[in-house]
Amino acid sequence: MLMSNILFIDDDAFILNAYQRMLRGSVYQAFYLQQPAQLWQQAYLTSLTIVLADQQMPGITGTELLLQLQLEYPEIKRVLISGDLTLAIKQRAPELTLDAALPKPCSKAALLDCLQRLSGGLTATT
Amino acid sequence: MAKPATLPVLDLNVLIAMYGDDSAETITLALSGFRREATHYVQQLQRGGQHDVLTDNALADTARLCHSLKSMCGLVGAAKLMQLCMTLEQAARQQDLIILQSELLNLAEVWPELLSQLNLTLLQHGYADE
Repeated sequence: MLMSNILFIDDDAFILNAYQRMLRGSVYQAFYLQQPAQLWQQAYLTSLTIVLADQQMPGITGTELLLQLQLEYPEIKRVLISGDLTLAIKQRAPELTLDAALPKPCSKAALLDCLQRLSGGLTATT
Repeated sequence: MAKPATLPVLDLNVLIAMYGDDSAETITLALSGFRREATHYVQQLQRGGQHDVLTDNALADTARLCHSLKSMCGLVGAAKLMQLCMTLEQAARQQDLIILQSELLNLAEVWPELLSQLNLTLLQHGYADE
């Protein structure tokens, strides 16, 4: 079966655990990272198709991290997750392009819908 | 926007909709994890509120803690605490110390009420504390 490798970045372990629970049994191979600075050392980095990053993290914002990702790995799709999407999108660097944005918290239905759309229609039901 | 007093303390329907799962396993996993994390956040907020003078850093910390706690509350349906976090976050960002102190006092009522509901709901779903 075709797998889509995705990565969630959020400093909050509870939120990461929720995403993990929501994707249980799905077609996605998901990775979870609490320390955004460690992104560049991950062996799976080049295999990723989608990265979802929280906006408010210590040390770096989600939009800053996704811009770095866009410059280094433009083929990886970028999703911003934020409790205040309007503000986060307004404050982002103009050169950053996002493939999607999700409110925080987001439901399993919204998450799967977004992932399915970005991964070309992979069906992801449990 | 609903007044805090009219909001549910804990609405399991929200949790079930967010997680897309109504199993006891998911409910207990989510609520026990929330209880653990939220306790830590509330303790930090209450410690921060005990200082007579709130520095810019302390206000930024309060806003950050409330922002994160607000999202966690949204996942499990802790509507009353979520509303309180929204008010606290806004007050901290606007450096409105009067509202901040008054809402921190409310936290001392809202949190024990939620904690009691969490404990009861976990018990009802067969969760045993270690």
